[in-house]
Amino acid sequence: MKQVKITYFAELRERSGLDSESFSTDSNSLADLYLELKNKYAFTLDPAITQVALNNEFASMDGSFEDGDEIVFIPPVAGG
Amino acid sequence: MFQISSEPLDVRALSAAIVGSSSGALVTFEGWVRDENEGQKVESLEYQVYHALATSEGKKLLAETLKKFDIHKISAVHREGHLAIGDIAVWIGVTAGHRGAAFDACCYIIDEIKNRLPIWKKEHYTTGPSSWVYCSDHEHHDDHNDSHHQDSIKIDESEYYCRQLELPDVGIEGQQKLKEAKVVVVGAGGLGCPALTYLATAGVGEIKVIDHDTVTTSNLHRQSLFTSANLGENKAHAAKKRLLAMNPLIDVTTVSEALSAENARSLIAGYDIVLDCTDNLKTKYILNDTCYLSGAPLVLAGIHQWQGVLHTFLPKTSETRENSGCFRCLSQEMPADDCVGSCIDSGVIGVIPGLVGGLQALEALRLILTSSAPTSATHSALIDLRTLSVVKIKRKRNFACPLCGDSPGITDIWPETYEIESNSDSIAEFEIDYEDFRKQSNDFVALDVRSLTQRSATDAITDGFTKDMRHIPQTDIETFRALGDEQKYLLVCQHGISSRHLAATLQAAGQSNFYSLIGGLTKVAQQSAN
Repeated sequence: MKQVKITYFAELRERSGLDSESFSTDSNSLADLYLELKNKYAFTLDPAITQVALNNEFASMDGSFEDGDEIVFIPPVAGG
Repeated sequence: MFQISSEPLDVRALSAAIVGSSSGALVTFEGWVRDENEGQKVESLEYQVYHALATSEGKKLLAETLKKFDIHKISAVHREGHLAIGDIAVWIGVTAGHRGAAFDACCYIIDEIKNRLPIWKKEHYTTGPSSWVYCSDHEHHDDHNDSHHQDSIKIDESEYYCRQLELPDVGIEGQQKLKEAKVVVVGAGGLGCPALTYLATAGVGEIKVIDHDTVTTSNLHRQSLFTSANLGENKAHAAKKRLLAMNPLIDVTTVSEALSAENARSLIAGYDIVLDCTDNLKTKYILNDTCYLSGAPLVLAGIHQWQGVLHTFLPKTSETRENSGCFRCLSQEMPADDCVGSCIDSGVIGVIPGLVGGLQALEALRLILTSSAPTSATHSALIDLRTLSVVKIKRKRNFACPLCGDSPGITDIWPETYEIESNSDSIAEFEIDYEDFRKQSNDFVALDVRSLTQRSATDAITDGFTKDMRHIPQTDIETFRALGDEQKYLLVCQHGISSRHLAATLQAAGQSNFYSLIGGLTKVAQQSAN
């Protein structure tokens, strides 16, 4: 079980109703983690079009993460 | 009667207004916009008028003319704003008992209008930059003793910029760089208005504004370049007028067609920096690819409710692009626009695009003024304005990127790259048209899944439909899950997008009894109106 800090941005924040949370997970990849959260909060966006930052650097959804990591999920933001 | 008009002139009505039964002659003069001046081909031109002075001086001129000549009535109208070749720029009509006095008076008025009225003409040439003509050799009569008005029109450059000339990184040298800079702003909306304001007033010498949209009432709360006087006007044209009024020392050109894969390269050719202030992902991807290949840095932004993102992407030609990457490095495939909320669906308050658009101008100014790339060229800024927090996410070029990766597939701008099937174009099995729903409405329980604010803004036409409907906000997923999988439910939202996403989510979880109303209440309102 890994404990990570997850920050939600834009539409994902709107849907989850959370700025950030501490989350326990067995997921291995960032994509798996995202799908876990997608199911929990009924996110509509696929992981393929969602960006992720790991410890303040953009990362690949295929990548893994460690206990204590800070993760931000960032959907495309198109308003203007 | 003397008038300044921003509308095309109705010469028949103008003549009719001064003709009477005692008139033996009507002499009219029409000044037209012609296609050349001093050997230069002119495409169009623009008149700027100092209203208070032009109107009072014009009235005085007509009163004088009536005294000076034996005539009955005079009317003179001068246009302002943007005029095309063949448009009437000035119209003068004089009625008199005999033709001689009418001809003389008409000649006198046009000569005096040219001499005395504070009206400036800017010609746009087919080749080369536009320039103001006869504003420098325009003669004011000293006798009206109105030096204050003249000062407000002839702006002293060093005085205008004196406050920023003192700023480190600007100075005379920086100001000259700004004057020589050419920046394109795509989209003159919530982000574009503040970005344009600060680029123009900082003295960016040439600004191109691209926007195909017209100003509507719902724009005014956040798009700060426009007022109710601009309603219905093209945004690029309206923005230009306002920008030149704020800083007449710069050049502003406009494009009133939408930026597309077909025209993107030619529209940004010759410009140093591009700002993406659009509200759709497709244009952002077109600009990302075009700017990268054409060698122009791109300052791209987006907002969602109280948050914004800001990135600056450096082009192929940049030596430091390794740490910059491009928009496709972050999300290689272009998502359909209807997958994310827009300002229409999600709501927006003016200060958010105001601040984020202002930051776009800032990054462009940093690109012009300093030799090192701005922070957003290597870090994307995630801005949360509710908590005043900015998280900077470090970027690097993605070697697998289809545009800037090691073996790129996108090497030119092909329109088909940007033709993706919008989710809304294909209809899912669980989507139902309003007409079909009405035929089998007894089988369904309809649920209004809009947010509370959307509900309070309900169009009266659809009230009959939504009046007795149970309301469950779309975010309340647990309540939907608790509804089980037997009774058929029809989910109804404003545009049919949120309800489709929600139905898809529930369907995927085994609740195949949830359906979505195609086009939402907007479509119901249209169908009720027809």
